[in-house]
Amino acid sequence: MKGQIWFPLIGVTFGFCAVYFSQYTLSPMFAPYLSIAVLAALDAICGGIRAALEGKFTDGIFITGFIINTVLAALLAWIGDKIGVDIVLAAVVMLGGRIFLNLSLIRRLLLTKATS
Amino acid sequence: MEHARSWTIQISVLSVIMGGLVALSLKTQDRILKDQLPDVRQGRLARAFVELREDATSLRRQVLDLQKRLREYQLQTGSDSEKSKLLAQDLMLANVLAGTVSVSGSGVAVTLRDSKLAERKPNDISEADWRDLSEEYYIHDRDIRDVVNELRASGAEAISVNDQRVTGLTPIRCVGPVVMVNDVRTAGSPVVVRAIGDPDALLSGMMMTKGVLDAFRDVDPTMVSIDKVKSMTLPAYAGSTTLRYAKVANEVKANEAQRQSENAERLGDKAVQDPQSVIRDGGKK
Repeated sequence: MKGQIWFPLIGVTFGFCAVYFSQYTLSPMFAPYLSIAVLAALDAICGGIRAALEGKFTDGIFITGFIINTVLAALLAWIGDKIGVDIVLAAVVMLGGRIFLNLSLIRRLLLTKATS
Repeated sequence: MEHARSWTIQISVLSVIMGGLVALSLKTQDRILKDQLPDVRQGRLARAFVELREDATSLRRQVLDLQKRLREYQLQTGSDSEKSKLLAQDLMLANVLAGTVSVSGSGVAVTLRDSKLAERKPNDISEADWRDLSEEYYIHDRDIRDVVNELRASGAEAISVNDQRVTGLTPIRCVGPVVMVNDVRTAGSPVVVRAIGDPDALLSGMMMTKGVLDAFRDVDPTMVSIDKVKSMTLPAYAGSTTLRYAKVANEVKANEAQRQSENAERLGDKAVQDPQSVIRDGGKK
């Protein structure tokens, strides 16, 4: 368990470096969608770790959760762009709130595991 | 254990994706920041620009005033004795050549205009192609420089471009639709080049076949007009006249430089007699 918790961190670093030092960039048009995708991914990771710590991790839910969340958030961003209302803020607030919630639960679970 | 590995792998894969997304987002954001000028500062910059321009105008007027006063002093000292009178005359001549005094005399006025044909874009040509094709309908800084150069070659003694006196150090260049002369913005069309000198000699220099203005006459004759002027007055150069780097050379160095220039002349003679020698010997004696 202790070794495994480092894998996601290594993964983040690896992915970051791989893209950051490549020549690849996106058109500035996609910038808002990209930040939403980052949030959705972070949310999915936190949720996944929490579920794993609780022993309730299910393959399907994790991956579909990430994909559906990202698609929905991107859709909201797109519609908001069209009608001139920042609906994307709803997704940001929602995902942000969930990330904090999951992080606090992860902390609690890890602490209780460490003390017991 | 099997279960544990499954979640580790999935979360790690997603972590890799997220790392990539974060990096991509950073790079995109960087690009946006680099592409856009900060809008907020443009208003402030515009105001500062207007203020500075007003300052520059008043300072230029001051320079002119001071130069005028300086010349009055020079004339006064000139009236004292025979020796200083000669000195004052020399000084006046140098001032005329340097362009720091206003001068009058006969000469020519060359007017260059952007052609009206530039606005008549044929319908079957795209906007981008027309930009390239219509280049020859516009007056460029190089055309103005060519005219100035040709006027000098024809013996002009004083030249102004759009009423800015051309001195030995005057840059002439286009910035968008305006012509910068002595770092003063003037109209890009029409551009009026005035030169004081022998009107006939100047005119023939301008009318020369295969000369600087020939290309315009082929494209659109209305782009150029040349007028002989019996009497006109060119303004004085109103820019900075302080030197920070150039110093008068001492005699030894001056003689050395003179020898070099004589040597260059000899090389020129040699090149006339035997054009191949330039390529063969390069700069060697």
